Amino acid sequence: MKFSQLISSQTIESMSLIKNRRGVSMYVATVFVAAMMLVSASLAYQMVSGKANSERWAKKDKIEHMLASAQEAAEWIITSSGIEGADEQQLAAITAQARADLEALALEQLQAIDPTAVLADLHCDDVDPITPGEQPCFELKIFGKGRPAQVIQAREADAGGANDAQVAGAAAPNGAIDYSNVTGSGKNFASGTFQFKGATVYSVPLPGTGSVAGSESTTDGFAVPCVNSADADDPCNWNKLAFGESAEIPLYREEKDPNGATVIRGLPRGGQLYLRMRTPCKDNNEAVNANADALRRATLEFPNTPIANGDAAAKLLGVNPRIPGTDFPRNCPASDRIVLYPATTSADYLSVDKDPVIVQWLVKGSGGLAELLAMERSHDGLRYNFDDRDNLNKRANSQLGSGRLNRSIQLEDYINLSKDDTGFTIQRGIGRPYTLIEYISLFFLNKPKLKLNAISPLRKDANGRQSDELVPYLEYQFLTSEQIAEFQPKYEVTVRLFGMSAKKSGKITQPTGGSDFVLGNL
Amino acid sequence: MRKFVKEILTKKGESLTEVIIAVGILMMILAPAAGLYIASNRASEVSQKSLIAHNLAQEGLDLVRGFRDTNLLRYKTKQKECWLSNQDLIDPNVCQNFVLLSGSYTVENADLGAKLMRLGNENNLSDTLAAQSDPPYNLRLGATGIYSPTATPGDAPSVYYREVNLTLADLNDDGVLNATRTDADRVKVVVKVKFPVGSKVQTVIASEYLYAVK
Repeated sequence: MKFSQLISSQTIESMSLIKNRRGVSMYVATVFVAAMMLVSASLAYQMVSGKANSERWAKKDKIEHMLASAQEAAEWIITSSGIEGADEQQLAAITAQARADLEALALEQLQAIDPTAVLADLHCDDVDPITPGEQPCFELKIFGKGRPAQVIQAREADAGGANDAQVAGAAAPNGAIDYSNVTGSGKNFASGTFQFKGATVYSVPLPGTGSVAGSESTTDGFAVPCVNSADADDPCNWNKLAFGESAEIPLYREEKDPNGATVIRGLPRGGQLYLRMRTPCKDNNEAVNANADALRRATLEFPNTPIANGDAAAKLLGVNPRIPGTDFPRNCPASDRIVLYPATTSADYLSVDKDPVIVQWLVKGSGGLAELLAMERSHDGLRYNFDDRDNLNKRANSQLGSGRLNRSIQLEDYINLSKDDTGFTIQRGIGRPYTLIEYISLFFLNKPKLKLNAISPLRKDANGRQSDELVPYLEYQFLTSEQIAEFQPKYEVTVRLFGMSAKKSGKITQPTGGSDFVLGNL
Repeated sequence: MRKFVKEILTKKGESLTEVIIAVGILMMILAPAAGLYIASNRASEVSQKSLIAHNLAQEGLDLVRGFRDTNLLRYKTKQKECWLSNQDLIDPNVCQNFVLLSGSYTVENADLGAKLMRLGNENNLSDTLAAQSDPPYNLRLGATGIYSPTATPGDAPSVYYREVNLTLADLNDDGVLNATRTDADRVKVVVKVKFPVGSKVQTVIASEYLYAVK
């Protein structure tokens, strides 16, 4: 018999034996093999998931270290420019060094996980500007006292961040803290006041930090981040207020005297308070195609060279199509803003029954005299509009209806809170009524705060009728003729690595002489 | 009973071919499973050691931060000069001679903040885990469960090695450190923790910047 025949016959015989064998051996074998496979799969899964978890944990660690370093750098910039009394040139050098340190550190953290990573991947290099959709690997935002006007103007012009030293020589006030924004892209700018109705005003939000533009302005489609904040109407200078939300703005500041004791300071009696509110800009789903410019955005270029007089800080490079759903123009005229129901042309305009109160403002404090609230008033069933504000008998009204807001937008109007002097629910009863500014400045209210409450859903107007479509938010801006709020430079650091993001913020209290202070109530 | 015994004794057994095939199949199943088991055990060991190493690295950073914070509290009137002072004396006027150098250190908890030791040559480092006593980079596990570079009664050697590397810089002035390093503004802290896995050494690195502020 040939060998192949032997094997063949043996194999056939074996297969036949296995196939025809009776009993439980096959079942036992099957169960055994299945159990082994289950155990093996379980081991393999544990191994893979354990490794992945370790990596995730390591990444989180790296982000924490980066965040702590960014926090240290922010505090260092604040204290170096304040307590140490560094001049502008020193501050610029410190800021640049801190940025370089953080760039290098971010790369180190990334390379610990991915050795092939390079600086450009992080958007940490000086690629300027960051294009929409890109996010820098770290950001330092420092809010503090404004510099002298010429320095602010020069630094705003110097949005490229490369030539901070060029503004050297401008004297920094004693203990000055700059308002700076340092990002991984090399952005480095300062900001302070802007002009409104021909006067210099201070604002909440701080110029360039408004939530309308978003915390990351690049993600909102701006061609450039919020660095050009000299325009009072720029969305970077407005905050959002949605239905059901409230905003509190301190009308006082706390300072530390040289002995470390807390001193409360308020607004001077001659101060002015302006509240501005408006609806958001229509997006390009709205029927505003007639105004083609409104559907486009400007691309601005900021030269590195400071401009001494502050004029022409940016030049227009071109206009690009807006990005649907995410983009809106920096300059949105009243005609392109959403109209609330009832529109000024509607028969229901200012009707007490039809024109809903959208926002109510009040001033609240603590202590015996806790709250000032101007009551709603009407005449012949109609709400007052902004045109009535100069009428002494009518101007006190803390209930802002849709019609008033629509009218406000058209007139580019504002509410001068400091002039309202009647209609408060609580009166001092000591002779003449006091104006709101007197209540605040004379400390009849302890630690007064302006509170804005959005109390009604925001509905659009559709040809004089109420639309079911809701407006997502209103925009507000609070302006003062004097700086108010705490002398506490504030910082906010953000780190983005490995697709994760972490943020920390804090305040640093510094001794003050009492004459200079910051707007820290963001 | 007799019938049962007789049946067992007379029944034909499995053929040799069947046994060989069965064992072969069993080996084919068990071999990868055993490999997987060993690899899984190794991964588990790495994961466990890595977790401890990350914590030791974080502890290293925290200890140096604590060292800095303690000095800022100690030397309120001379924070700028003394924030990196490495001395035990609490005297706000004599810290200048004890400001740290850039280099490698070992760090441990101390009664007041942390204690940084730089006893020998910082170049005496290698990627091996050979015992080094000067400075003692190898950590020991104390009876209380705390790792420390200093030998104490009842402790036991551990597999972890921790080295703290400091790089001082002067940012606020001319960028160059003076001879006594009292103009240092910033220190870069890099903590390396090493541990063996089989015949290889794994390293966990944590780094942060600390400034002369708090």
